Amino acid sequence: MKLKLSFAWVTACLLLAGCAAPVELIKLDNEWARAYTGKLEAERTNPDKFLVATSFEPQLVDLSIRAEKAGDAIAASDPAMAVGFYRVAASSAWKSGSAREAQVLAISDKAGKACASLPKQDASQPRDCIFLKLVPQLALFDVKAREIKELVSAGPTIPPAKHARSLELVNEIGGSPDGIVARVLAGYRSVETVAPTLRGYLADNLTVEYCAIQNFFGSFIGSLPSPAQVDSMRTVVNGAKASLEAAQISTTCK
Amino acid sequence: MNPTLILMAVRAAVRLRRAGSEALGQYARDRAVLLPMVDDIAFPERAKVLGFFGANENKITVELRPYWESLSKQGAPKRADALDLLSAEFARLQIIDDPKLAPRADEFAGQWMIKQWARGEEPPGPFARVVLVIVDVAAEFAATDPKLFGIDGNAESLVKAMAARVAELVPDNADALGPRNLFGERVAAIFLKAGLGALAEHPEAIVDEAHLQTLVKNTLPKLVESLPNALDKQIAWRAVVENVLGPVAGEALRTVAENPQAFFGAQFGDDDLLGTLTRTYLLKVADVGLKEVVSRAGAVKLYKATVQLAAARPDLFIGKPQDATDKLLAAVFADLASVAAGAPPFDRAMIVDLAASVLESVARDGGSLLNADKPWDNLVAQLLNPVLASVANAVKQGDSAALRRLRSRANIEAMLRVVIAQIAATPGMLPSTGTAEIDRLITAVVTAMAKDEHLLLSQEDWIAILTVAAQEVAANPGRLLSVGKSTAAGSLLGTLLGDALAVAAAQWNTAGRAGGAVLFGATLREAMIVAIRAYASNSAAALLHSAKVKDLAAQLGELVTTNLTKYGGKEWLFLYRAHIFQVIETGNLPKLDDETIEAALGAAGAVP
Repeated sequence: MKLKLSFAWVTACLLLAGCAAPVELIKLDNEWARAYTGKLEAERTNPDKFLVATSFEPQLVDLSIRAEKAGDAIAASDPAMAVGFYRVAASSAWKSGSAREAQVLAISDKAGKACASLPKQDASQPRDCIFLKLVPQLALFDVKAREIKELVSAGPTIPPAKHARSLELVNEIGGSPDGIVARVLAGYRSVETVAPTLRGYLADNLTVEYCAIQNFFGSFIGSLPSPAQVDSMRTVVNGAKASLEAAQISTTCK
Repeated sequence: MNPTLILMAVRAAVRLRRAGSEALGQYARDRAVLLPMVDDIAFPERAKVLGFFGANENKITVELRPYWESLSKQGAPKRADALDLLSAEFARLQIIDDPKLAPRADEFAGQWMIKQWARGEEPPGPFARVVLVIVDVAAEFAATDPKLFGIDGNAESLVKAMAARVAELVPDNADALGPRNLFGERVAAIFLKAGLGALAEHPEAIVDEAHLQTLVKNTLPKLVESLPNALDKQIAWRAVVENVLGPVAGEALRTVAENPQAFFGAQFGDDDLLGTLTRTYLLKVADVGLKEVVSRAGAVKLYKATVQLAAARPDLFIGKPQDATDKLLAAVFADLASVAAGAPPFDRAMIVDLAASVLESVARDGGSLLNADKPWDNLVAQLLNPVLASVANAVKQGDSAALRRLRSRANIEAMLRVVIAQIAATPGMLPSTGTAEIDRLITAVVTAMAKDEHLLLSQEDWIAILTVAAQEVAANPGRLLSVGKSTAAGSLLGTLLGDALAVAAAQWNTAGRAGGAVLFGATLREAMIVAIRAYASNSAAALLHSAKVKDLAAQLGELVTTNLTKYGGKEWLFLYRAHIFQVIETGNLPKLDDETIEAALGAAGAVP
C-alpha cells in the first residue's frame, strides 16, 4: 500500500512539475501571437493609435512580466525552458513600446546567461538564443523609429534646427560599425547554419531598417539642408546599403 | 514477481514520465513561433522617391537630372511635374533591379514564423523518438530479466509487434513534434512497459505474435488519432488515457497470455475483439473522464469485468466487434450514471465495484440473460438498482449495527450474486414482470435484515435465506410476493421473515443465551428456510394463518426455555418442522405435552 502511494505521489509530482512549464510556454506563446497580431491590425486600422495605447500595450506589458517571471523561476533548474519564456518576455516588452521596452536589455542579459548554461550554449537553442542576443538592437530601432516619425510628421519638412539631430539619428541606425544595422547584420552573419527562416526574419528586419534611413534621407533632402549635410547622410545611407547588398540582403523599399 | 523487476519497472516509469515531459518541453521550445518585426515607418511618396535617388544618384539620367535638382537643391528652378516623373522612374527601376523582390505583400509589417533549427540540425524526429523509447524500455527489462528476451521469450514478440506499428504512432501531420506525435511516443512507452510487465508474470505462456500484432494495431494508433485538438481537452483527455492505459494494457496482455482462445481463433476470423474492446473502453473512459469511474482501480476493475463478459459470450460480438463493444460500453456507462444518481447513500467507487461484480457474475452465471437482440440494455441497472434501492431505503432508518452490515459492500455483492444466479436460472424473472419481482424479494429480505438489531443471523445466514427465497420466488412468485397485487398488501415473505425475527428477538430480550433462547444462528436460519418452503407450498392458507405460525414459534421457544436441560435448538427445529404444515393448514396450534413432543421427536429420529 505504502509503495503504491509513494509511486502515485512520485508520478503525480513528475507529471505536474514536468509538464507545467511547457504547457505554460505554449499558452504564453499563443497569447503573445494573439496580442501582437491584434496590435498590428489595430495600428493599421486606427491611425490615431488610441486603441493600441489603451488596449494592446498594457496587455503586452502584463504578458512580458508574466513570461519574465516564469523564466526567472526556472532559469536555474531548466535554462532551456527559461530561454523560451525570455523570448516571449523580450518580444512583448519590446512591442509594448515605451511602457516596458527598457526591460528588454535586462531580459536579454538573463537569457544570455541561460543560453550560456545550455549543453551547447547558443547552439542548443539557436533561434531563441540568437534572437535574444539581437533583441536589444531591434527594440532600439523602434525607439529611433519613433523619433523619426516625430520629425517627419511635425510638418511638410524637417525644421533646420533638427537637421543635425537627423544626421545623428541616421548615423545611429545605419552608421558603421556601431549602428543598429551593423550590429544586427553581424548577428545575421553569425547564423549561417541556423534555420533559414531566422535568417529570412533578420534580413527582412534589416531591409525595413535600411528603408527607414533611405526614406528618411528623402525627407531630409526635401527639407533642403546644406549640401554638406546631404553628402554626410548619403555616405551613411550608402554605407548601410553596400553592407546589406554584400550580404545579399534586399535594399528594395516599397 | 521478482522484486528487482518491480524496482526496474518503477525506474522505467519514472524515466519514461521524465522523457515524456522532456518531449513536451522540446515541442514547446522548438515549435515555430512568431517573432516581432521592427516598426515599418510610413513615409510620404515624395520622401521615398527622394530617398531612393538620393542614395542612388548614378541612376538619375541626364534627362531627369533637372527634375531631381528641382526637388533637392536650394535655388534650382522649380518644375511642377518633377515628383511625378521621378516617381515613375523610381517604380520602373525597382522592377528592373529585382523583379522577384516585390515590396512585402503584407498589409502591415511582415510576420515571421521562425523555426528553431535548420534542416538536418534538428533533434531526433517523432519516428526516431518512438523507436528510441521502445529500445530504451526493452533494454531495461532485458537487463533485469534476460529470459524475457531469450528463446521463446514473449517480450521479443511484443517488441516486434510494437516495432511493426511505429509508423502508425507517428501521425502524418505538418507539425513534426505536434501533440499527437508526442502522445504516440508516450502511448508506446506506457503500453510496452505494461505489456512487458504482464508477460514477465507469465514466462510459461506461449504468446502468439500475431495476436500481439492485432492487439497493438487495433489499440494504439486509434488512441493517438483520437486525441482532441483543443489544448484544454487534450490535457484532460491525455491525462485520463495515460493514467489508465498502463493497467488496462497489462490486463489485455495478461488475457492474451492466459486465455488467448477467449479472443483469438478460427471463430473470430479477422475480428480483433480484445483490441477493439480495449481501445473502445479507453476512449470511453477518456470521454466521460476518470471521475465517472472514480479511480484508476475502478476503471481497471470495470475493464476486467467487461473483458470477462466478452470472453463469456463471444457470439454476441463476432462479425460486429466495434458495434457490439460500442453498445456494451455505452450501456454500462449509462447504467453506471443512472444507478449512481438513484442511490445517493453509496459512494461512486462502491457502485463501480458493484457494477464490475454484476458484469463478472453475468459472465460467470448469467450468460442466458444476454438477449442476442439487445444484450446490454439496462443490464447493470436492472440488476443493481433493486438491490441498491432496497438497501438505500432500509438504511435511511438509522445507523444500527444491522444497518451498517446491510450496507456493506460484501453484503450487497453477496446479495447481487444470489439474485443474478437465480435470474440466470430463471430468466423469466426479469422480462416477465420488469424488476417488480426482484424489488419485492430484495425488499422483504432487506427489511428483515434491517430489523436484526441483535445480529441473530450472520450475513452468510441471510444470504442462505435469500437464496432459498429466490428459488421459491422463481418457482412461483405469486405465492410469496403477491406479484401483480397492490404493494400495500405487502408480501407473505416479508411477513414470514418479520414474524420469525420478532419471535427470536423477543426470546433473546427475555431469556438471552443463558436463559435458553435458541432462535439465532443456524436454528433461526433453518426455521426461516423451513417456513419459506412451507409458505410457498400453501400460500393461501399461510396468508390466513401466519399469525398462528408466529405463535407456534413462540410456543416452541417457551417450551425450550422452561425445559433448558431437556430441549435445545435442535429439538425446537424438529418440532417446528413437524407442526408448521399443520398449523398453516388448520390454523390450530398443536398440543405440546411430553407425550406428543416425544412422539414428534421420535418420528423425526431426534428423541432427546
